Amino acid sequence: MASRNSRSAQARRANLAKNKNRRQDPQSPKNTNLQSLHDSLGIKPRVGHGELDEDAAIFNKDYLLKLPDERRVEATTVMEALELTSRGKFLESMEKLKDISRSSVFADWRLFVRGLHAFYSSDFEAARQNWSRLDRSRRPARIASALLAAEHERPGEDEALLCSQQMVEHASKLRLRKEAIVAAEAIAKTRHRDPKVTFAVSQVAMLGDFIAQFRRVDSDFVQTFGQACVAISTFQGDMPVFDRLTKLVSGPSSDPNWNKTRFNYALDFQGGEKDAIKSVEAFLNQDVPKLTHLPEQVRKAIGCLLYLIMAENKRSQRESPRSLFPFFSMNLDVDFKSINELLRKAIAQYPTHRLAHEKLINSLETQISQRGTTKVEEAKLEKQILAARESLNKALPEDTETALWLIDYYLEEDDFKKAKALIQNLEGKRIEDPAVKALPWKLKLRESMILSNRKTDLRLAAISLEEAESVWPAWLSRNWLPFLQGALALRLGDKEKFERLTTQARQDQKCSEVVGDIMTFAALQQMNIPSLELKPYRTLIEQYLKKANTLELNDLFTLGSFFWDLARTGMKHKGYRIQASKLGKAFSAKAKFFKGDKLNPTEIDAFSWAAHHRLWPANSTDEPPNYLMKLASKEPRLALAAIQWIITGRYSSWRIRDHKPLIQIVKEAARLEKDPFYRYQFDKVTVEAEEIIAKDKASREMYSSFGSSSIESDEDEDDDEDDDEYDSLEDECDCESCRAKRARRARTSANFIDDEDDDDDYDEEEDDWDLESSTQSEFQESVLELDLPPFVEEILTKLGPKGLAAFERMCAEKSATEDAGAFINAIIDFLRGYGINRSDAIQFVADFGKYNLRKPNFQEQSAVPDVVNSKSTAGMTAAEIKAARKQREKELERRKRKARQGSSRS
Amino acid sequence: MSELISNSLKTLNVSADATPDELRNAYLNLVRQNPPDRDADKFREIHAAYQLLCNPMLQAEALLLPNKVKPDLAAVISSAEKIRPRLTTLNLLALGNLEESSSERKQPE
Repeated sequence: MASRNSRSAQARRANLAKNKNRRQDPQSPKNTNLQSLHDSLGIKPRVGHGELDEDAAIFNKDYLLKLPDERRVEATTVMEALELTSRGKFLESMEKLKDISRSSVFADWRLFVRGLHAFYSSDFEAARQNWSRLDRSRRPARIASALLAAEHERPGEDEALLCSQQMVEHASKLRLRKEAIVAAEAIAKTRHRDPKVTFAVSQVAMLGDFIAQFRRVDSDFVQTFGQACVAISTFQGDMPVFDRLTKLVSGPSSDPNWNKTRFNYALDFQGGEKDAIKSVEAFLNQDVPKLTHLPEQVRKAIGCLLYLIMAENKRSQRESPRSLFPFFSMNLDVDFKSINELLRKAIAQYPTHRLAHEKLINSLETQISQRGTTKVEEAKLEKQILAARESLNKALPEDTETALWLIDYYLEEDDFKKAKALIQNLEGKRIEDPAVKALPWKLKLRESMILSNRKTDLRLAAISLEEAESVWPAWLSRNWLPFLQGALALRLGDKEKFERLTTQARQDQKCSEVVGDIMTFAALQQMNIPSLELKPYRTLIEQYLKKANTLELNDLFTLGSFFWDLARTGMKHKGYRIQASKLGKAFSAKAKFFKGDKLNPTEIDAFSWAAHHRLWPANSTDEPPNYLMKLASKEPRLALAAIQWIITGRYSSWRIRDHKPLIQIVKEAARLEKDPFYRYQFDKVTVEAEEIIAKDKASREMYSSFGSSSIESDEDEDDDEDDDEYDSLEDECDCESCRAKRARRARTSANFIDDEDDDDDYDEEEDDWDLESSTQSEFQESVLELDLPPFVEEILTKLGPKGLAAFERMCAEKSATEDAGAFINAIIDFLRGYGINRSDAIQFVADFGKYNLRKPNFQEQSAVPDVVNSKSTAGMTAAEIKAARKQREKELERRKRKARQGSSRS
Repeated sequence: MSELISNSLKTLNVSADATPDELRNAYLNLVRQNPPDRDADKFREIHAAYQLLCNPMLQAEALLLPNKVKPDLAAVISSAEKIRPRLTTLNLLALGNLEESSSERKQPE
């Protein structure tokens, strides 16, 4: 990242102005060659004695007007063709001339232009062949003769020169770039003493002269050379030079005003985002409509991408800097309305761009999950999400995930017509997804549930249930089926059959009373049992839910497995939400202490369900908790759940690359898995994760800073991060490498303490701090206890105990008072004060922030549980929650006070 | 035009304004000449070029990509030396002027 120093920028501007005044005068005696070139450039066609009026009409307006209409048109055509040729548009030029007949007086000009194309393409033989047939007394033949002679090519066999020697000399000068090349070489050879400077201020001045002198002579070369100079200037951190150059040189056809280049360039500067976005807007509104050389679809795709960039920028303005640090995990007032508007514009530009749709849906879903969203707003947003998904389905009908979501939605809304249309559409596509193959089952099952609503349709409901049974997916448990059959029997008035079926099912499945009751209640609700008959079951379930914390873990596992089937098939019953919420809390509280070595399928299902709903409090990086990660490292189905958790999180792109071992587990399991549902999911998630990693890698390469020195090699980075991520798993592992790592960590901690002991000045000079540091502050303790990334560790070691204490004070003070940007800058400045260079300081911020996000126990706020929002309230009474909340506020207040004291002392 | 796109055009040997049919024909011809079993790398190159030129979104992404390769001014100069400049229309037409002494401005009748 380049740094901008306002003083040096001013100096550079002044230098630019000085150099501008010092430019060489093109008319000075030193430039006699150039003068001669300009003389040649000044030659103009003159009508000669005995010249044909038609030839003169090509360049003389008076002669043109005297010609009869038909010939005037032909003369104009020749003129236009010559003009197109001079701009290199040979095909268009020949297209113009195709209407000139062989018998026309202008046929010679057509032949001449054809030969000229060959000549400009350095095919002198072809040029000579074309030109040898020209009338030797006319102007085209004389021009051809001059051109060939200037190239030292004979005009033709046994043919004398048809033009004057003076014209050959003119042609020679105009065709040679000698002077321009010399001037360009002088610019190219000029080097600044600082190797980091890729294009110096003095070169800018030279380029200005070069453009002024050769623009008319050799516009193509001037343009190409100038554009290369601008491109080179983007490899240094000097905006004034870039500004000056972009004013001197016009941009390439794909970026005529340099707005696109400026966008990419400005992003490399600290605080350059504003400039970048301004450039994007200018590029989108002014340049893109004019890029008519690009196909319309490409222009629209560019528009779509630019709107996405703007939306992303709007989001990250509020989120990104803050989310680097855990201290800023509070709710943020993101301008969702503007973001959604930009995303809709992106979709309108290029409706088949999946990412734009996904971003809009994601934004709406984030908005709905914000604290303080009212019921009315929620309903409104839900409608918008539906519309967004429908729009995605319309643009990309092959997208099964969206189609499945919509089918579930329509079925829940009893909109069979729309659901059936989508199902038919999917059926015709031979999609391998087991969820798609199970759609006929789902449709029949849902149909039986709907039909059970009306007494007159109960027989039809029974038929539908039988049909659903006949197509019941092999990968799905049939445990619920007898309960559904019993519920339908009850609805039909056959209480005896209901009792028989449900009792039998309970016995067969060896399920406890609570599990049997919850499954029965779910079936009764779905089969529309009247509320009067349902009431005793409802009361029973409410009692279970009230005492959810007292339920056995085994029962919670069985219920989790049942709910997993409902969730993954989208067949959630009416009471699912409330039951899943309460039972989920109980499950998540108990399951984290589960110490099973090998999980049985029910337990795996239950964990999958819990991960699906993210029942455990996620840390700031939206990653699964460590105990789930440990299980995931042993069980592929839970590895799948963990990966799905990560890739649907906010930081998927930079988090998933830390979990390649998990991806490998899933990838290998896909080959051996017999269950089609999981086999398909293993394959799918592997592809998705690998795509994210590949995209992330590409984008990091794309947006790396100057010289890409800050980008590590991918392998190294992966290794480091993998180590870091799986350290927590190594705590319990007894293998050689993990033991070695633990020992290394212990040594590092010991070094900290040694440093402190050695620092005599510290004890003598600052007694008040001695008191605190002698019994290490909480911050230092946490630093010492934790396994920090090596780079962070290295920097913190450099600070020493005194520096570490000061760092703590600074963090506590700034995090409470400053915004994210200022806080980050404060950290960087602080580190620089300790002799750490800027790039290391930036790297530290990145690593430290990332680390903090991973380890919530290092967070100030997380160290004091947030009882208002965390799932840790599960099982707490209202009084307990109140007390905990009070305690938390007290603790926060104490820390703030301590921070203030620290800053006033310092 | 982005380097990626111009390289793809070169690989398929088509012009920037080639129609979808022209692109497909060029692609199929090249694939016939370079089947994957003969030269897998060449085939991949051809395929990637075709994918890029057929997909407007990929092209847009390529066009918006920042320039990662620092241009070499010496190379720009060297290639300019090889290609001679085209003359402006007036300069070109002036080369057909008759010798100063023998030429005489003729007024249109």
